Formats: sequence, C-alpha cells, structure tokens
Amino acid sequence: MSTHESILVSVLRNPVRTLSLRPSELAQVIQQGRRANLLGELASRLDELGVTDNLPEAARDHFSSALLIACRQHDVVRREIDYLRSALARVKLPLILLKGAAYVAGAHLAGSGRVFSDIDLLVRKSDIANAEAALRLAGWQGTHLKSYDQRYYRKWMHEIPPMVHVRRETCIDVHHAILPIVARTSVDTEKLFERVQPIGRTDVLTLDPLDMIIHSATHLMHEGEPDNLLRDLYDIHLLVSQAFRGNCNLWSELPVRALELGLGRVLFYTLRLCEEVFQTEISSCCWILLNPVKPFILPRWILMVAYHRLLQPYQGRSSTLLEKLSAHFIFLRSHWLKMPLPLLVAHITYKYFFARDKVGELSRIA
Amino acid sequence: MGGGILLKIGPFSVRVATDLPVFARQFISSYADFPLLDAGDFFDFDVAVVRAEGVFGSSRRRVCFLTDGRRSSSELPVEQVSPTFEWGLNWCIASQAHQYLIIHAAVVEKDGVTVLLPAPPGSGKSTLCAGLVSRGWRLLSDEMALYDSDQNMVFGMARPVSLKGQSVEIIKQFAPCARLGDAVNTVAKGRVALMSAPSESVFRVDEGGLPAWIIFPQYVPGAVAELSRFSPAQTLVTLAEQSFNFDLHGVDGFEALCGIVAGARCARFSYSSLDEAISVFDDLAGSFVEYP
Repeated sequence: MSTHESILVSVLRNPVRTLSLRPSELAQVIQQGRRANLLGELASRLDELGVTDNLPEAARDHFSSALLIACRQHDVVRREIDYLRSALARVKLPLILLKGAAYVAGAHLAGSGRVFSDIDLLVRKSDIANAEAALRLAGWQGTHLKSYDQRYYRKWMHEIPPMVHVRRETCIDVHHAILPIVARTSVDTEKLFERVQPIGRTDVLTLDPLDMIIHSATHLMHEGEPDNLLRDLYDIHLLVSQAFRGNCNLWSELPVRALELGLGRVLFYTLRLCEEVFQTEISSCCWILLNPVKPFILPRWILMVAYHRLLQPYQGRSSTLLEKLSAHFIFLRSHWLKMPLPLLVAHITYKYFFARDKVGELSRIA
Repeated sequence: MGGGILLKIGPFSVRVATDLPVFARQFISSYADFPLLDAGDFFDFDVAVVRAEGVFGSSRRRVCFLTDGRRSSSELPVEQVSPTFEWGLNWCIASQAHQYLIIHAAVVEKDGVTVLLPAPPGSGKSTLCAGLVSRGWRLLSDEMALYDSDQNMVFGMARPVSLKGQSVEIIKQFAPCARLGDAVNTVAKGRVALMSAPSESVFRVDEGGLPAWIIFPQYVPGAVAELSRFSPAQTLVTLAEQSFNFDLHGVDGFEALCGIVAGARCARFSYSSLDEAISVFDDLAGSFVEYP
C-alpha cells in the first residue's frame, strides 16, 4: 500500500544497506532517524553488525553521538529503576515496568539505542494511593496541579498525573491500566497482572512477552501524535521478531490472547502495519485467528492509508494535504477511542478556550 | 525557499536555507570566506531561518529557526535574524555533535600558542577575543571549543564573534577595519552585533590546537592588565561547568578535561584596556612568560 518506501525504513529493514548509500542519502537517513527518534536504534543495529567502522567518518560521528546519548540515558534509567524498586518495596509493592524502561531492563533488542522521556510503571488501581505515597516519600512529586488536570487524569485516564523527581528531575508515569478508564475498549487489567514475570533474575517485573506486544500495539493504535509512530511500530517489529524466533507456537497464542483481552482488532492493524512497513514475518495462522475481528474493507483501507502517510519520516519538505488530513484524522480518532463524545467535546473546549496558555495549538491537547 | 546552500563551517557541513532576503544578505557578508560544498555532499545539519507563521500567512515581523524541518518553539523579531541563526546552530552542535567534548569558551592562537578563554557571559571574553583577532591572533572560536579526544586537539569554527552591549562601540573604535554587522537589540543578550572572523582564520579553520594556556578573563574598570595564578583543580571544575556535554561523556570526559588542564597553564586575567591586554597576550605567544 505504501507508494514509495522511505530511505530510513529501508535501512532499518536492512541496516547493511547504509554502507552503500551516497553521501547525500546518508545525510538524509541521519536526518530522518533524528526526526523519528530512531537514530540511536539504527546506530545500535550497525554496531551489532560491526559495520560502523566502514562508514564515512562524518556519518559515523552522528551514529556514535546518538548511541552515546542512549547509553547515558540507559545508565540513568537503570539507576532510577533501582530507586523505584526500593521506594515501592517500602509499601510491599512490586515494580512492574512497561514499554521503554522494560525493554532496557530486560535487554530487549527494542531497548538498545532507544531514547525515551519517561519511565512507565504499572500498579493495581487499589494500590495507587500507597504507591503514590511511597513515590512521594522517595522524592517524586506530582505535576499538573490544576484541579481540571487532576480530574482529567484521576477520573478519566489510565494513569495518575506524571511525577517528577525533585532533584534528579526524572519523570515517571504511574499507570493502573493500559487504556483510559473512559475509553471505548475496556481491558481487564487483572488479566495482565496474572501473567507478569520477573525481568531476568531480578525482582523487577514486566508484562508477559505476548502482553508486552499487545500493550505496545494498543498504545500505537491509540496514539494521536505522529512524532513517535514509526519508532513505536519499529519497537513492535523487533519485539515480534525476537519473541517468535524459534517459537512458532506463540503465533497462535498471540491472537488468542489479544482476543481474550478484547484487543484483537488493535493487534490486527498493528501486525498489518508491521508487515507492510518492515516486512515482519507473520505466520498465516495468526491472520486466520484474527479473521473474526478483521475490519471491513473501507474503514480498513482509510485507516491504513492514513497510517502509511504518518509513518513516512521527514522528507525535506512541508506536509502535503493528505499528510495533514491524515494527522487530523488519526488525532481525532485517537481521542474518539479514548473518550466518549460528550466528554471529548467538553475536554477539547476546555483545553482550547481555557487552557491556551500552555497548549496554544489544537494538536497539543491532551 | 529552495534547497538552500551547503557550507563547510569548521568540521561541519551545514545546509542553510531562508526565505528572508535580509538574512541572505547578512549571512553572505559574515560567511563570505567559508567554502561552499556541492548539493550532493553529506550534510551534518539542515537549518533554516524563516518567517514565523502568523494568523494570516507568514509573519512580516517575526522569524523562527528550523532544524531538520522542525520549527523552534520560540520566535524572534526579524531584526534579530542573524543572532537567531547563530544561536540555533549553536544548539544543533551542542545537542548533537557529541564526538567532541564541547566547552563554552573562546579559542585564539598566535605563533602556535593556543589560548582557551572560558568565561561566563559578561566577563568581557568576546570583547577580548575580538580585540585579539583584530591584532593578528587567529580566531578558532568565540563560543564553542570542540575538543577531539582522538586527535587530542581543540578545534573551532571561525564563526562570527558575537559582541554584546558596549563592546560593539569599543570594537568599532579599536578596530575600524573589522567587518561588523548591524547592531540589534535582543531580549536575551541586549545589544548584539556580529563581527566576521578575519579571512585567514577561516582559511586555516582546520588547524586545531592544544591549549598552552587556559585563561579566565574578567573586565574590571580601571584595572591594570595582569595575569594571576589560578588553581588547576578550580580550572577543571569550571571547564566542566562550562561544558555542554561533559555529563554525557562520563569518565572519558573527565579524563579528557584532566588532560587539557594538565597540559596547560591556568590563569586569571583582569583587564580594562584592550591595548594593554593584547600586549600581555602577545608576550604569551612571543617568548617565555614567567608563570605568575
């Protein structure tokens, strides 16, 4: 469906191709990688293949810079994980990591070279008060103190307002679910807790590998901002490729689990995008099992066209009309999915007219 | 706006584009000596200074900086278009060029003697630097010293010296031949004018240097130009504070700074008259100077 493949996607699929690029193409890859927050991950792939030294020096400098930023950030994340673990241990709660921090702690391929802005963790809703108190005691303070924002997060969202450490300024998102309370799809979070598992030999926990894929897919398909879409899809491509290497049974378990959680369609779209963009190998039995939730052709086509537009990295020009429309469509769709219409209208009205000091533009809402 | 031009600025290839004729003119005059590259060459940074987006199309009064096609969140009045470019490019380098340990410092050289001048804003560093380069010293850098640990060398970019406040008038009188851009009033730094580097500094920009001296200048009204001893340990701490990416380099960064400091003599320098200051510096370059 994608009309022409971007140079960044083609080197992510086949990193060795980087070596045969012309200088201007190489610069373009670096630029697109930087815009898509994928430069560190591409650098990591080149490093794993041991081909970094064969690149022209100017390009190599950009890759090593990006890796340096990621490595330093991972040092910080690992140290914060330790602090978080001991903070939660004081109220006898385990630390359950989600997304980026979990990839890094679990030494997943999706973690290496990845940069992220906050650490996501999962706590049972009934334990939120305890967890929040324990984290406060350890120096993380709540943000978004306005009463509207507090209500927005605590009554409607799947997380409490982000917390920032007073001295180290690290930011954490404490979740009690993977989708907003008021979202159209409701997921039984308890089912996720049933299968959490330790990361390596530590007492830090994360989701089951299949749940991890499903959670990332859920996040991707509910995200309204296009900035990190390609990066998030690439994460899933790596998670899938890594999880299924030499374990084909999982191919039937993944769709079954997604259907059990009510996230079959989310998985369908995500795997389709993975297949079309990164040519991820997906077993046919997976498609057969997802057939009952396969969307009708027209909505499917519209959504795929919109996503393909938004997954294009920066092309050195301003957005086309189709790209702008796609961005608006995905933005509105994500809010439509996350909130019932009356609430959405009230929320957008509030943000647009009463909280413009911070947001300024429509696309920054929420 | 077009594809802009590709220019070699020190070790970096920078693609510069604009839709403002006024910026094009100023840029061409202050970067006249910098080599052009072919459009098909590799570029490190892709930057542009363009009109900001107003309610009815593009704004006539405000400009913003773009890097990789992404707009900066801040907009500045169109008069400040050249400082906007300089600050934007500084940001690109400080946030992305981590192959270097980047120190906020001026670097000048004469007869093989390289001097690093780290100093907080307001210390008279740029004024001294502009004075020195108008009297035969080579400009490596006014704002950013790029330390390459593989070559054990400090490099600069010979970009324009940014003169602030009264120093604009001082340099106009001190060096009437200096190529000075128009002075503009800015919110962040007051009155600013850009002084182009002498052509020779631009032609020799690839020549790095290892600092023989690390000198903290301080303009003190009425003071006699004089060097005084400064502790190497304190120098190390100050360089770390003045570095943009010291924390990122971890142990390597610390060892790099230790090496730089160990190989140089560290001093404080107070001055009030540029003539006197330059004669002290000329002594550093000319012959053996007894360490204060």
